[in-house]
Amino acid sequence: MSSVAKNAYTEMVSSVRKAYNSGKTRPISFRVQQLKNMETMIRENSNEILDALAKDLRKPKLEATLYELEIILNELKGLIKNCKKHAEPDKLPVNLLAILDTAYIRKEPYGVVLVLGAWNYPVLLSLQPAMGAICAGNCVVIKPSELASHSAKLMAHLIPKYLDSDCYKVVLAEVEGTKDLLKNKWDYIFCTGGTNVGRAVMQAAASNLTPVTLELGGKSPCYVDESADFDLAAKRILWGKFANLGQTCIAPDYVLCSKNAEKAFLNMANVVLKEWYGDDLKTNTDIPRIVNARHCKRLKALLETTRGKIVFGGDTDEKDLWIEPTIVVDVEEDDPLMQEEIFGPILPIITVNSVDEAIEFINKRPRPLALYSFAKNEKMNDRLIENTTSGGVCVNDTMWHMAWNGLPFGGIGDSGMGNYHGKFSFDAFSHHRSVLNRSFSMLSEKLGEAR
Amino acid sequence: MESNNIMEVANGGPNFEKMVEELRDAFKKGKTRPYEFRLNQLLNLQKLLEENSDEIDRALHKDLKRHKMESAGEILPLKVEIADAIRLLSSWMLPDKLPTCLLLPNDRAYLQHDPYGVVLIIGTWNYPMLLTLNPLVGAIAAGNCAVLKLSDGSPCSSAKLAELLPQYLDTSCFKVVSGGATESVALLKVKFDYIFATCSSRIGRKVMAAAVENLTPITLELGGKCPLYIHDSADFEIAAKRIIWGKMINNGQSCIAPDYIICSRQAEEEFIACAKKVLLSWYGKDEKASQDITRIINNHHFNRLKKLLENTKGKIVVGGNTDAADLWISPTIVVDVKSSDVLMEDEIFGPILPIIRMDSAEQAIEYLNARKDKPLSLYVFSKDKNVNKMFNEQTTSGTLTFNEVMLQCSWQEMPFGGVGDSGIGKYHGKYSYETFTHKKGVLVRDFSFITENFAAIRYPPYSSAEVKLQFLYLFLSNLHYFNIPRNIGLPHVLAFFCGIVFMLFMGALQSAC
Repeated sequence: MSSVAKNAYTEMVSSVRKAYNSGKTRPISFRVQQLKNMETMIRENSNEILDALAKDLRKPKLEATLYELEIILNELKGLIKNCKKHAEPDKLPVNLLAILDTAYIRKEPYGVVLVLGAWNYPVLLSLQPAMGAICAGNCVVIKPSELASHSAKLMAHLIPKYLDSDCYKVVLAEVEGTKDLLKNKWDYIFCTGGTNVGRAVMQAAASNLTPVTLELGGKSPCYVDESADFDLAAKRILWGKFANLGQTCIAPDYVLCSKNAEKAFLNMANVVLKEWYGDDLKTNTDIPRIVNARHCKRLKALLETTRGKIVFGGDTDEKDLWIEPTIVVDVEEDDPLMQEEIFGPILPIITVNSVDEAIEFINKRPRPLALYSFAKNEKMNDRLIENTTSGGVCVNDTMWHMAWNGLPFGGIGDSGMGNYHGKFSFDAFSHHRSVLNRSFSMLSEKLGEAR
Repeated sequence: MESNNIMEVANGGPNFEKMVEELRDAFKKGKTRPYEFRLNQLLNLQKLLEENSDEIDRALHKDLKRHKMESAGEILPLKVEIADAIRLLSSWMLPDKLPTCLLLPNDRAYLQHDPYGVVLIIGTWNYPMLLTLNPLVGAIAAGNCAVLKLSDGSPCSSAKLAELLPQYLDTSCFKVVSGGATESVALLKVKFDYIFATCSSRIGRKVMAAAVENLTPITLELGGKCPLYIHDSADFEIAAKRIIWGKMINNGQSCIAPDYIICSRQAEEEFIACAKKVLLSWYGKDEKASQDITRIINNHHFNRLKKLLENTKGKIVVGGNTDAADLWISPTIVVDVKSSDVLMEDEIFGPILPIIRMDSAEQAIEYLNARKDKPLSLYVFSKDKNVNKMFNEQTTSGTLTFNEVMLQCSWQEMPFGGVGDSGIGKYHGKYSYETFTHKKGVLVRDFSFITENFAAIRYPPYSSAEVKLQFLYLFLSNLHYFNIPRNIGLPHVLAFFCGIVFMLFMGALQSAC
């Protein structure tokens, strides 16, 4: 058994564990009440939340409402409604030879759960996992990303006012503090972040054999077939790419298509972007900003070192954390734009001459979080889906599968492990305990005597 | 054909990169994906067991001195798992359809089942056939390629598997590696898409740490001390039989053997009285001469167990005899055991049964919850419904079994796995298939008018946002009312038409009145 050296958080974790051991979070009524309180918290403070998001990322009100608040409220609604149902044991079939016995699977909380949030959807990515953990009966410690400091501070201020403060805590910490937090023993760790963060979390978890869900990232490819409807494809791809200025784990990272498709796509793209943003994108209030100077510098360097041809955008302004929505063509496999997840508003287009070439390209690379395919020809889409793997897939649209009621959301390989959303959230944070209840009856004994 | 494919590297130690690359090539070519291939491999596995049952029993006996009857306890569940996989494979492989939303009628969502790719299965020595091949059934059913690392703790059984598996399975997709810790460490340096290991908690930590580099998902079937609580209300005759049976299978060398007992003084007396009768009736006065008791696997474990008997501060009331030459430890019961005793430190994994005295179920539960380890299996013998409810609701463990031991491991459709130090993940039956399957969420949209117009609100410019948002809120918050199950079949269609007919009938009836 590994023992935990005392650190800044040992006492806090201890107190949360005590709260869990008291059994407070086990009754369904308690859990549902906490979730309802969270719903009230969002509704009563939506302006403050939108304000914090605007300060952190210059997130436009519509984006913040649609992609954070509405998703949170929708999830809460589902968990509140279904908590009792999710928590019911699964009965196993009765067997004639064991007719007096009962067998079922109990859904039990793990205990004390750590949720590590991310900065790009700071409120969503802290609260959506947390609500799943709460619904499953755990105590939860949330550590929001320090890079979205206004949202983090707001959550630290609001959560103790609405949720039971013995059972649910918010911790504000930077890198060193997070390392200390991870040194403690947790019963489950849920982390949204980059691949390196994922590795550090899994490493810390290994010493205590703590199960983890890692929602990571990577480069999500977008295949556009010549049979696609280019008007709608352009709209949906560019929407996915430029929402939150490309800082979304499931943004279409790069496009794979033939030269003909590229031509059609670019024609539509020019029309669409003009329609959406007008002539001067920098002053358009519908466009957010890059989260900080470091990421802005990184993206600027990509634009400076790419060997591709910039056909739209390309403007930057580090002081304003501004990278203009940009499209780059003639990008080769070994281009700087193709090395890491872009996480910004730069869309490279790589030429492939068939869906099979696209498949080969995708399979050579780390497994993505999302895969996109645009084609009216269903066979193309099916071919791509069946011959590649990814966390999830969305055909003829981008990002939409993330909010689809009933679909699990998670990665595979470098893009993550485990999944959540809806019932999958409840299951992620539950230990499924098999229970066998045999009787002492003569019948049971006779049948079992052969052993 | 070679069963190993090891390349010795100049700086010492085996290197399995090339072998795994071969498997990855086979996987990329799609060899393991078709239903026919998976079915064929499972049928071959079935044949392997049928055609070589005597040789397998002999190998198990050489390693563990196990009677054929006990080996059947290992082989039979394995045969049932394979038969079930063969029977159910086609249904397991079907994508899971998700409900359609009437407001977005053209959208289609489902879960596509993708194999992970190349998986590593690390077996162990106490049930060498079952614990190596059982996970393999799931890996094959899910369409993966696999490397099986056989345990050097059971050399004869492992050698037999190394000899037979390449004769029955496609060797371009399934490889076998023999050897010990060196080979395991070398294997863990290679990138796998999934790792499944059955081992101790200590090794489990090392496996998980090794998986970090490639962010490889894992299932760990570990162990630990499985507590057994006997309430005063138990039927002691039956309890003693079941408990002694569970403890003595494989001479206590099972991850789910009842490790220690907690009970009151009165229960302890009753239990010991019954246990003595059971042992006598099963094994006779000269237990050592009985053909029905397995032996300790090797000297290392024998010495470990002997030391426990020498250092325990408890009182040995049954057994306590040892014979190094025969790797023999007699069935032993120890009372007056305190929680600080050596017997209470690590998993015993032998035929020694300590009893800790506690007056009540509440005390027992308090003790269990204060322990840092969460057990793989928790056993409760009791007729008292309130006591059972307490254990159900106030404790945790991988599995919980009332009035029985061990059977939860082979109960139909019951997932098997630990929690905390006793493991991560679960398997058996369809859970094995799901362990080795990545369920990929797929949403298929189209370019139709309906689909586009509902979603057009998302596009800039964001003016008239207030109105759009109100509408969207109304839409999204009532979305779930419009879900209809995707898998509408004949019964649903018939019900629908019956409904229409009924409506028309009622209508006609009303107008006639």
